[in-house]
Amino acid sequence: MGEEDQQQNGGNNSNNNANISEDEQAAREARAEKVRQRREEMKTRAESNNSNAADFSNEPSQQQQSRSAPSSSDSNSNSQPTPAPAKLREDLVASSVNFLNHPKVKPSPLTQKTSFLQKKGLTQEEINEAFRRVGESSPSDSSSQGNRNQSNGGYVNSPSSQQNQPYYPPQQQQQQVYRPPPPQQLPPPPPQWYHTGSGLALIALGCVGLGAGVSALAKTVLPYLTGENVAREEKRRRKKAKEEEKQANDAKTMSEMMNSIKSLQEKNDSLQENLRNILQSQNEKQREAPESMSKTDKARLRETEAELKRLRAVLVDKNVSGSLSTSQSWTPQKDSKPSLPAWQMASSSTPKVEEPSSPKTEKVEKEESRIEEIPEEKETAPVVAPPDEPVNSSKFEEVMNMVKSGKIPDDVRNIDDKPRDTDAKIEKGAREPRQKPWERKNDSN
Amino acid sequence: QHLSLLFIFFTDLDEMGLFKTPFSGYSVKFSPFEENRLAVATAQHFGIIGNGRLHILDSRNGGAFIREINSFETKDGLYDVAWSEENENIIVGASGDGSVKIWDIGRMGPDSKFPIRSYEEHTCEVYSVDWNPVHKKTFLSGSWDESVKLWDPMAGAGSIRTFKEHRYCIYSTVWSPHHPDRFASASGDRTIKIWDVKSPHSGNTILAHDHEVLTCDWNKYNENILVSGSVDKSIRIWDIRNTQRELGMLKGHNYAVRRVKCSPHSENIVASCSYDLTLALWDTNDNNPLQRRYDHHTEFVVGLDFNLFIEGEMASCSWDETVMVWNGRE
Repeated sequence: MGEEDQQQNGGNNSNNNANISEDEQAAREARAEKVRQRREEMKTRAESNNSNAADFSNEPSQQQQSRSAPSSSDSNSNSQPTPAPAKLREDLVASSVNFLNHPKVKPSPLTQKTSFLQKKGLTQEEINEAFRRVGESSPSDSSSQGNRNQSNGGYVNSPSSQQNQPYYPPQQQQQQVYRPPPPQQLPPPPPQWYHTGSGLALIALGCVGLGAGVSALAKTVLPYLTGENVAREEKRRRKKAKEEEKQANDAKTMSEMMNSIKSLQEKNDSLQENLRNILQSQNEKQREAPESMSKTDKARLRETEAELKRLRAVLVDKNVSGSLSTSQSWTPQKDSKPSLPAWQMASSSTPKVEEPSSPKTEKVEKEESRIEEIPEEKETAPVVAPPDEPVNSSKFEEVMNMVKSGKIPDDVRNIDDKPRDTDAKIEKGAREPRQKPWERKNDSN
Repeated sequence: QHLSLLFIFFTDLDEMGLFKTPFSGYSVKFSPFEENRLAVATAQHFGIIGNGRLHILDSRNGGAFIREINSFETKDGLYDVAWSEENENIIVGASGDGSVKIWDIGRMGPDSKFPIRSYEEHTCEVYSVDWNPVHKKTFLSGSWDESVKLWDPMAGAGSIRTFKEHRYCIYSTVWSPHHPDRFASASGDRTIKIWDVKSPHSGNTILAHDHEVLTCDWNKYNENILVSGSVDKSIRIWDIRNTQRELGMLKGHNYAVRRVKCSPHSENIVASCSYDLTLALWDTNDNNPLQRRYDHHTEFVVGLDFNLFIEGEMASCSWDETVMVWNGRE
């Protein structure tokens, strides 16, 4: 067939984008078509899901500038050009460096650290780079030939020149303006009844017509009355002072609580960010968040969710007790409701992970909406992939389009895989074949 | 700051072992000699176009620790791989350029990374290879050129037989574990054919599915039972003595079933993987046959195999460029 002939001609045409024969193009398209057929089913379903996902992508418009650069670019993943498939992912490398530099991680054996990073989805080059930056030599720098092949095959090891800043920005807290409560309006003073009292007294005086006796009576009554009023006024003043003091104290405790809430939220946010990084690194492509996670990722997700839940419970408790006394003095900020990032709510194709997180979110949101005034760093969610759509769909489309237009991707190499030493005999091996489990069982019968 | 990262690092106990491949995974097979060894066939760019690579992996501790011990590159993508049943170092790969290649993974020297054979007879992508587990001397290849070929690598330069009856791509060819001359082929023409190598014509044609049949496998404990999976999302169980109607159907996948495997340790356990990104474990004796669901992949799951020597251990590979090994019994 034409395809084979082309390749046996020294593969001149294999890596050019021009001058492929019709046969070769037809063969490529035929294969692409077959591969594509299954994909079509996914695409139509994903498209019907896309309209549902649109809500999430519109949500986090406000707080976008407060987010670190990589995240905001993630949230626009549709418009983001897909980078060349094989450069080092700076975000992963940087977070690996942070990880490796941690005092608790440093003493761990190299192999354990390496295998951990491998499991997180880093390529060998990325792991090596991370180790290099940390100043250690990775165990795989002097690797076997196999590893070197792996690093050469199909990969161009050019570290990204664009994203040089580490992925983890210094923890940016939103500078929440904390305004002490405006001084409370004094309640309108109670009616000055001693005036009416004295009026009454005067009237009584006039009515009775008694002279000095009544005035003497009035004279004795008056100081008594004013004395009491003074006492009452004093009491009132004291009460006012106490209230003000109390409010100052409340304000102080509120500010303390605010600080602790803030730090809890920061912790919360960093946890979520870490979680997102981990999950993203599992996918390896820079796109929508994963919707289907490994068992371990799910376990981690559950653990992190449990921690988040605990944090939120703490937040809620603190806020509920705080609001009872000062709610009327706060200006509610209606937009800043705490929420799980949209990707977390919508992620995962399996009900097991998805369902628990949504009702949980709703419940927590209800409780915290009572304390709307809590300033919250809004989670900017990356654009959510519709459930059940594989993460690499856009890459797939890209490759399909390339093939249709007669091009091939840059990272396809002209590999010589012609057999060598074809006279070498193929023989029985040194080891005897092992019995199959069913053969064993049948024998015992 | 990186509390959660560390937290996970130090409590990584129920780990599912993972190996990252640079290319899309297409097939994973455990070695019939070595319980810690498995081979993975991969193809670049989802197998649409590009190079291929064969990985030889070593997996320990129930799959918690996987490392590569060798790898081989090919010009075109590799769609399937089969270990020799007679020589622990011989391995066959099915290539997108229509060739069937044999490597000796124990070779040393400057040419050790090249195949020792490349059979170029198929005129389309070779999608399936399977080595005979009974006589152990021959292997089959199934191709999109609608033919199945029989090969004896010790005998000579070319195929021994060509079986051409299917009307569309062949996706899977599988030897019976009970009869040395019997095999089944699954095709895009919606049928499964049962063959005896001694005859050029199939012995039986099963109108198996409502859509392309992508996979089939024999029951290891009942020589008459065959299981098939299809684009129609169903898995069907057949008695080859009476193929008018299936014995049963396993439903649960949401997209095409890409591979089915009958357990080597149990008569009624079947595993399947699908384009719905999941794997499933079924018990055909159960009224509710679906036992477990695995969703650790984020792309089409294309490869699946049971470990012959560690009961319950399984491996899967996917277009998400990961290979996972785990034990389904835990």
